[in-house]
Amino acid sequence: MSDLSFSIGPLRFPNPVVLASGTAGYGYELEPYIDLDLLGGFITKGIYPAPRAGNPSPRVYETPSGMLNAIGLQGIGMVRFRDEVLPFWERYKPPLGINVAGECPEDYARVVEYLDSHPRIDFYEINLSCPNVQTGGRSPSWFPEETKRILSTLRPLTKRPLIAKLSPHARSVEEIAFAAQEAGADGVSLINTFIGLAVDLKSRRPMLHNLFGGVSGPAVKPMALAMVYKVFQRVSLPILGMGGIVSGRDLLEFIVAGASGVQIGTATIVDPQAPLRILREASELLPSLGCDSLGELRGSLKPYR
Amino acid sequence: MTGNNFSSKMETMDKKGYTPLEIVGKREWREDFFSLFFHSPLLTSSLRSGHFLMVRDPDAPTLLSRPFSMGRLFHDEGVFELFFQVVGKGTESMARKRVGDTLSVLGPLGNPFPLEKPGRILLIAGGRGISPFLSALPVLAESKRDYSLLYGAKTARTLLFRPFLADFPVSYRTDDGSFGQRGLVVDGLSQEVDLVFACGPEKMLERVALFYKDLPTEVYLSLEERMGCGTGICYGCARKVRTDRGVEMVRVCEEGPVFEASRVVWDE
Ligand SMILES: Cc1cc2nc3c(=O)[nH]c(=O)nc-3n(C[C@H](O)[C@H](O)[C@H](O)COP(=O)(O)OP(=O)(O)OC[C@H]3O[C@@H](n4cnc5c(N)ncnc54)[C@H](O)[C@@H]3O)c2cc1C
Ligand SMILES: Cc1cc2nc3c(=O)[nH]c(=O)nc-3n(C[C@H](O)[C@H](O)[C@H](O)COP(=O)(O)O)c2cc1C
Ligand code: FES
Repeated sequence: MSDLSFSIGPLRFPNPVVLASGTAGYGYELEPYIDLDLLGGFITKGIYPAPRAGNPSPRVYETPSGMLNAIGLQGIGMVRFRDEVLPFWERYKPPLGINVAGECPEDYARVVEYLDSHPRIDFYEINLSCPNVQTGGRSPSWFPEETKRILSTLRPLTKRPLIAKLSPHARSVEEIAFAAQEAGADGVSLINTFIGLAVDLKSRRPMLHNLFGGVSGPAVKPMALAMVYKVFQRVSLPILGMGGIVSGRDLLEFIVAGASGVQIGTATIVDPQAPLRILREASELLPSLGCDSLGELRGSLKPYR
Repeated sequence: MTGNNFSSKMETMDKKGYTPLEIVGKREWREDFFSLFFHSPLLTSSLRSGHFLMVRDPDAPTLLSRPFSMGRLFHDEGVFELFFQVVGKGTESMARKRVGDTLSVLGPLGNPFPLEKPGRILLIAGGRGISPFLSALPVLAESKRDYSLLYGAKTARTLLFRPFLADFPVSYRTDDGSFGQRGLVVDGLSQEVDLVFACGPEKMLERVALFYKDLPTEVYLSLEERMGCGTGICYGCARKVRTDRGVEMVRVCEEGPVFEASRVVWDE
């Protein structure tokens, strides 16, 4: 059998299929549909210090080969998360990542400080795409300095791996990734959603109450692959690649572009069993590419010279 | 040591998932209303009025599944009905399906109407909101309950299922008076009931909730919201509901779609 595992720092992921933040709830919602122990890893919905109501509905709309969402980071906050969700995860093995969210650097620090003593947590994914209230709603991962500022605040607070989650809207995603590396991040995950708009012609209303939303799904895959490849060229950090992965083939394409592992988002929303199907497809396909392990495939893209 | 501890058997063991179901019957009503019939003894026996299903056409250009409540249940044949109105891409592609084609179906999802609660029951249906009551009526008749259905639509042409409904106590209303009494269902509400179950347009549900607000009648509404997953993971379907913690955004697919009317917060 081929080796599908990969590592970020000291942390070993048994296989490359990690569930993406905000597209798999807190985890227990998926229990009726899949054996969570078969996953490569799981990343929670974004956790802010306080509970958040999120945006009014409608919050989702289907767009060509994808979807638009403006959930508005609804969440139960770090206290209820620790009391109500973390005990659930003690029954399952896969690496558990906390998607840390904030409106300002202090928010991120409060979440990491509050949760870090809990033994079930394996790593943090720092959602640098949240709107920052101090900078007029711009998200930190559009700017190398903001990215550095938040990650260097967090670095001394935990020994666990810190993964910086990047927005596709930075002027240069690879420069943001480099800034994250300099600030002590152990890995990067990309990409978060693209800002999008859908219009209802009849009412001339936006399809989402929030006006704008984030675009995800197969529509964004080529852009995501390009960014993964550029970041792979620029930094030595392991990459969790995502954006429109719906098949084992898609997964392996991200590995070829330089990802160590991947995240599955919209595909899980479409079908809660899709992540395990994608894993099966990838593990069946790998030997036919002449590879015994994912490592052999990683970053093996051969551009024309 | 290998991370590949994987077999496709473990993938679905004891777990619920999308199932491809063959269309065994199709009925074209009018005004863009359709019924599709599916053979599944398992679903037919486990579906309860108020449950919904997520439905996806694997051959369509659409990505996300769409939510539908089921219509009639034919227990002897193990067949259930989906009754729907064409309003967009997803329902259009469903309407083009033929007998022998398959659709992917996930369910039962959500929480059904608490039909077992004691007391006199009034069912209220507006337009395509008749769906969940097509399975509730035979259950209430069988258990010899004191019940009736108030069913309204714009016009007689869209007041569907009348032959089926002839076996049950139903009063009809149409906006234009072309069948039954003229007027809205909300003009025909009775105070003389203990339980109300309603499904239909948002405006109708809000007025039903308002009518019974200060009465001892317990009112349950089946609410709709645009959905992403239908399985509780995306938080796309949330709406304002009163909970122990105050007013919260609550998922229609997971905590609903049936809510106690007194808990629902209506936006101005
Ligand atoms: C629990 C539940 C049960 C339902 N049961 C039935 C049923 O039995 N029969 C039936 O015909 N329909 C039912 N619906 C509504 C049905 O899901 C929508 O009509 C369908 O999703 C529209 O898909 P579409 O691709 O054709 O439209 P789209 O192209 O997605 O949208 C077209 C228009 O419909 C609106 N719309 C889309 N989804 C919904 C929704 N879920 N609720 C309200 N408006 C929506 C959009 O805002 C848009 O204006 C139910 C919805 C829910 C939430
Ligand atoms: C409904 C929804 C909610 C999301 N919520 C979050 C979130 O809370 N935090 C975050 O970092 N990313 C969030 N994302 C982005 C995804 O994690 C992922 O980056 C993106 O969807 C691209 O992957 P995909 O095409 O496989 O979905 C969300 C995406 C969707 C569709
Ligand atoms: S539709 Fe995704 S949580 Fe309800």
